Amino acid sequence: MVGVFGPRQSEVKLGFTDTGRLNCEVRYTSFAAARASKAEQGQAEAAAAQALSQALEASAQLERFPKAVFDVSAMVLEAGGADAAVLVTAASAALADAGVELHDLVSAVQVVKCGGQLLLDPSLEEGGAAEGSLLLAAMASTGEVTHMEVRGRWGDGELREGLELALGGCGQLRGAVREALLAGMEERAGGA
Amino acid sequence: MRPVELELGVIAQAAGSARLHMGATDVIVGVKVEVGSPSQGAPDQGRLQVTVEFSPCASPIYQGRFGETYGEQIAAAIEASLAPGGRGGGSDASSSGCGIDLSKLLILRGKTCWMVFVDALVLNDDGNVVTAVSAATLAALRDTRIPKVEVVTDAAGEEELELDDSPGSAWRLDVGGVPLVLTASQVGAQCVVDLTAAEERCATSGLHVAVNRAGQVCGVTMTGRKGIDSSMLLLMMETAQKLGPVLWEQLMKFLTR
Repeated sequence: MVGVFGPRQSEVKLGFTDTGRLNCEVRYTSFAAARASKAEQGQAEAAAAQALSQALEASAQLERFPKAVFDVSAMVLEAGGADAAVLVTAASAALADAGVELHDLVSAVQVVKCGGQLLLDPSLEEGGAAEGSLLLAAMASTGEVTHMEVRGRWGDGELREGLELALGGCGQLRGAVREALLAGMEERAGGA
Repeated sequence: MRPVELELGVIAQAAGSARLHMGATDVIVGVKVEVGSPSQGAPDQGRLQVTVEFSPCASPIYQGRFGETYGEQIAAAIEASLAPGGRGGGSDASSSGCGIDLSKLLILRGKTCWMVFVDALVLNDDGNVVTAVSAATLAALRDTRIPKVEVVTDAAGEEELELDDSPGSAWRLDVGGVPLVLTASQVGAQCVVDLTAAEERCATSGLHVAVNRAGQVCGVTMTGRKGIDSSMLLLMMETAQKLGPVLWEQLMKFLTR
């Protein structure tokens, strides 16, 4: 679940910028995932927020909102694998729904390498058993990659193959998000 | 790439340390080892923690929160390259074959293990900090000696640890699989590496690629405010893959001397 607030005035202590800023925050509910400690959860939240702002920043036309801040607050209700990818896709859809001018929707997918096979959108178990993972966020219509995170050892061909698979997934996902946004708009227009 | 200057054993109290100059960039890394308990998620592995700090002398922008978050970002990239399982949890380093074999740091399953703390301090930032920290970390880890510890079961059946203090019996970590993190940046339509601080301002985005000695990719993270075209992305990774082994061999030639 993702909410977008703003634009609002930037805080004075952060200094002046002639472009806007995205302020991302990610929270996991206490029952979302099995985590050993509070500290670990905090770390995961901070890392997810970092990834989220990296992935979204390139897509928003922030130069149109000088001195302004958008707050992107995300809440993971239940973590069932590939959380980071889902977070990015949802947050981008929320930004678009809020009417923030974007270059394109960002969609993100995770690919894991599991016993020599590449799996798109892994479940929690598949993610845990993987030898390597690849998170890719892209603006599918221009093919621009906005965020990428790779873990584990990847051979040359494998990485290329994984990237292609991920880009294909991003494209599919973008179509689905776009349709959902349009359907939402029509529904609202019909209700009014 | 700018020539690299390296000093080993610069901190007397640390188990291993290194100071690295790359142009005007100046990084110091200390490694300390402590006996502690393994995490619940991985009872048969030691622990590794990386922190990166910026000296406020490096640049006024590092005062306050920005320096902290930037340091955390770099630390996460380095830690991910050393122990891929680390932050995300799940897969262990030994099976993925890069980084440090954390299972060697185990003393007693589920109870005690070595905890390795890598602390990096950036004294001066003249660009390419990530590679500098990564190379200095590799050197410091290679310089690290871990004392030998034996588990002795006493008459009451309780397990006790016996520490062998003699320097001769201390062992070193195997750093053969540790990758180096290289940063390829995009300036205009060009892919460039090893930027100075002034050049870094012109870069629209950067890709930190962890590359092992064989040129295989062990991890990637991205920074910057603009997206990268997918063909550019491949070019950047290829560049890093070519440069990684070269830098690795250069460092190792010095370290094994």
